[in-house]
Amino acid sequence: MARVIRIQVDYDQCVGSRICTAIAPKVFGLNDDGQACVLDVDRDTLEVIRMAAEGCPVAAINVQEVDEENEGMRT
Amino acid sequence: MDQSVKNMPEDMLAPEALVNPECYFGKLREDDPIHWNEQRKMWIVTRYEDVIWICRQPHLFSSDKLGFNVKELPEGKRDLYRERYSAIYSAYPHWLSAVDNPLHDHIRLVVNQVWTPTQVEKRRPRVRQFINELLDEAEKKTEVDFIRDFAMPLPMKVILDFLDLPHEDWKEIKKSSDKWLFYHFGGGADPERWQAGVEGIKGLMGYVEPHVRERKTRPQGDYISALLKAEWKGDRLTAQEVTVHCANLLFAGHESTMNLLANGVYLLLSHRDQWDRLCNDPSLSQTTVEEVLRLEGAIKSMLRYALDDVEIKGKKIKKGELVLLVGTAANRDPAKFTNPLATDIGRRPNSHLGFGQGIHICLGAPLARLEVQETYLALTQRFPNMRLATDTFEWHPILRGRALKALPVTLR
Repeated sequence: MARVIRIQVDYDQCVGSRICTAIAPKVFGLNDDGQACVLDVDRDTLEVIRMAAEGCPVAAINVQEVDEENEGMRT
Repeated sequence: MDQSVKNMPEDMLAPEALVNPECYFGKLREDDPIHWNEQRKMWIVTRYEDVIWICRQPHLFSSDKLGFNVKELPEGKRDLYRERYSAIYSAYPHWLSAVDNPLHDHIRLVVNQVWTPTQVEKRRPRVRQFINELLDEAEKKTEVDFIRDFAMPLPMKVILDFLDLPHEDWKEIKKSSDKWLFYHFGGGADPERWQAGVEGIKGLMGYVEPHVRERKTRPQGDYISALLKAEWKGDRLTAQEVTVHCANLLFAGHESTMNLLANGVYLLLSHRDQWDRLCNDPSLSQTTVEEVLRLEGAIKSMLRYALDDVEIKGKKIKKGELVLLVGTAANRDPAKFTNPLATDIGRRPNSHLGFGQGIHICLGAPLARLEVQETYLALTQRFPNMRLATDTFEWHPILRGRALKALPVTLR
């Protein structure tokens, strides 16, 4: 079964440190409020995305790998 | 000025504003949230949304402290200062909180490889041990100055332990650190401050430097060795950069934590219901720390200067002008916080600005949170009857920090 990556940014926590955008610039960008946003989950490896999430000074990024089928059911 | 502002103190460092900064900044937040202060020649920004917006625009608002201090020097004196105070000129470009990008990211992204929440968390048992040792000593006295006897030594021991450096010299380091503080939070053109800055930075770096050199030759399993080896996309830190960074940690690792620890005890003991609440329910310790950071954090305000002309809500900030971002006022903004003046140690959510915001968000935040949380847990469990031993408190007359001169308490 295919696996997909799901990324959630907690906007109560995100402080706009820009560490994720420096570590994984293809995946993370900044929104108009200067907080992190997801550009495209498929543009880098899970390893790099995890590194960006772990580098977040306030742990505002949650990364999960889920089954595509379940993901489909959820939406 | 607007009618409703007439009762506010004349200056932000007036005695009543030092005791209660809200009586000055709260008025501004209501009546003129982006305010030009002619006397101090700076903008004062007090609303939450404006403070975070500016913090998140590092390309428009600079943190370059040396650049700002040099700008205050008369043109004819700049070469002389560069020569006379060269120690400051060589250290500042590597001082994380005082540089802009790309220098900032170069340091932060490498440091980020080794300064991780997991590494910090590993220190918890050691921090508990230090706390209990200091409390065992303090307990022997009838009256304790919580700052002198606890809040000053604890963060010093913790940061030295984190860096695997010997603890015995902490009083010497504290002296250097205080000199650096005098320059770092003041500066201007005052030669006395620049001289103190040189002595301070030389003292801090001179202490760290031999240890960095030793670990460069013989790497160990410690933070400094890891940092010397750390790499981000082929980028590493030089021995000089590591030395300045460790000096920065020694300074920032204790000064603000000391004040945070003390301010929180002051806040909780002067809101007895909240102190008792924590005594009865230690599971509130994490949210307690956040509420202390919101209401009585160690940093009242942050300074930036505009790199370009910027217009915010009809106010025209000109290139080069100073902007004071008042976190303590933003943290009481009713547009962001429900019942903002109430102390509620269970408050959630609590997106305060106690550690700043944006690229300069406090690096040491996880360590500070750990120290403060463990301290309040230990105090409420060991000394539930702890009391303030005075009802008059003196605050240091400083713009950016929130710091008590002493905090007399009785433990039992």
